[in-house]
Amino acid sequence: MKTLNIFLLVVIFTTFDVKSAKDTFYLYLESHLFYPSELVIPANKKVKLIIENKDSTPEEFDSFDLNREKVIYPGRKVTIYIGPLKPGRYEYFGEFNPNTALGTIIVESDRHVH
Amino acid sequence: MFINTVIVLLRDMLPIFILFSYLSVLLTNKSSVKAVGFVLGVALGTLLYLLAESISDMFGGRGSELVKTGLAILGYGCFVRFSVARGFSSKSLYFDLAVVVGVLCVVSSQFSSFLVYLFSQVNGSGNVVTLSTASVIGLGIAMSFSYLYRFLLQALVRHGNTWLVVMCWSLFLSGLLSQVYFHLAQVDMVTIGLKRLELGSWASESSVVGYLFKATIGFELSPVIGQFILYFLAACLLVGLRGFSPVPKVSEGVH
Repeated sequence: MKTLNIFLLVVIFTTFDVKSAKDTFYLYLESHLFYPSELVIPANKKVKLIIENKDSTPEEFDSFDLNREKVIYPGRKVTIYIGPLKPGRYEYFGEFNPNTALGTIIVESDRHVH
Repeated sequence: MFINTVIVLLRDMLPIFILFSYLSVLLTNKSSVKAVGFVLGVALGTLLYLLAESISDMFGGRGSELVKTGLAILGYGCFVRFSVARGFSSKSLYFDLAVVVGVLCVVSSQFSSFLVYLFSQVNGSGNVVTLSTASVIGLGIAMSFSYLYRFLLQALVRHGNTWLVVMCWSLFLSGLLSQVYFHLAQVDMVTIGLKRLELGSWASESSVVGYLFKATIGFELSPVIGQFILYFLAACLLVGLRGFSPVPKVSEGVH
């Protein structure tokens, strides 16, 4: 068991990093729709994304492209960090309402902040 | 909503059924211990759901992920303790405790996730009939698959391939631990090794095949590098701890 403990500590602490992001972008969810549905962020840069849930039920922000999955409770905001990403389109959706809660993160070399 | 409920139910609950498939083969004489773990897991899962919003706000919004990380590490540790016991059997109280806590960790984490979805749909749409029907069908699929998987494992044991069952169990546990990397990446606590590996170009991670791989042996078809390394190391660790000890006689009591 001692070996196991050491192994776990090494794995966790060698991967622990607390770099802060410089750019912040915002999304909000209302009536099971993400606004804006397309968000442009700069390429090759780590950004902070704050998502607010204005609905009365929880939603799970989910993206296979971005490798992100986070539950957002009603009336709450969550922060996730994405990037650095190559230019392109990265889809995301609300796991609990996948037919309506859809959106795209557009990563562009030229920076257009919405 | 119907199909989505089935999918979410399989995502959240199938690992619990698969866990019990493994335990029914590897641990044939501890039904009460497994039952205690399950009941406590359901109770803790319900508590985690009820406190979900408060937990989520803890540690600067990282509470949910840190709790799940803790449960995954604790569950992995307990199951490793159970697995390294000679023949997957012991009369030690610590052995029973390891099984109970291991089951509790997996069940509570998965069950609380499903409750969040279930009650969001109940409160949102109020369509209880559709939700109930979808839940029953989802549970039916999960139970059917876990029974089939259990028969497969039992057949492997009967034909002297117990090592293969143990190997799959080790990979299942590795998958449990590798979730730690995923959870910590969500809250930016790990920032390296996040490039995706496309190991399964023949099937999507979000496909049925992808879910089955993940549920049975904890393997993701498109893991990030760090998660894959952790998965691999965790499997090596368990094999290392088990060493070259004799293959356990797990066939006793298998019917």
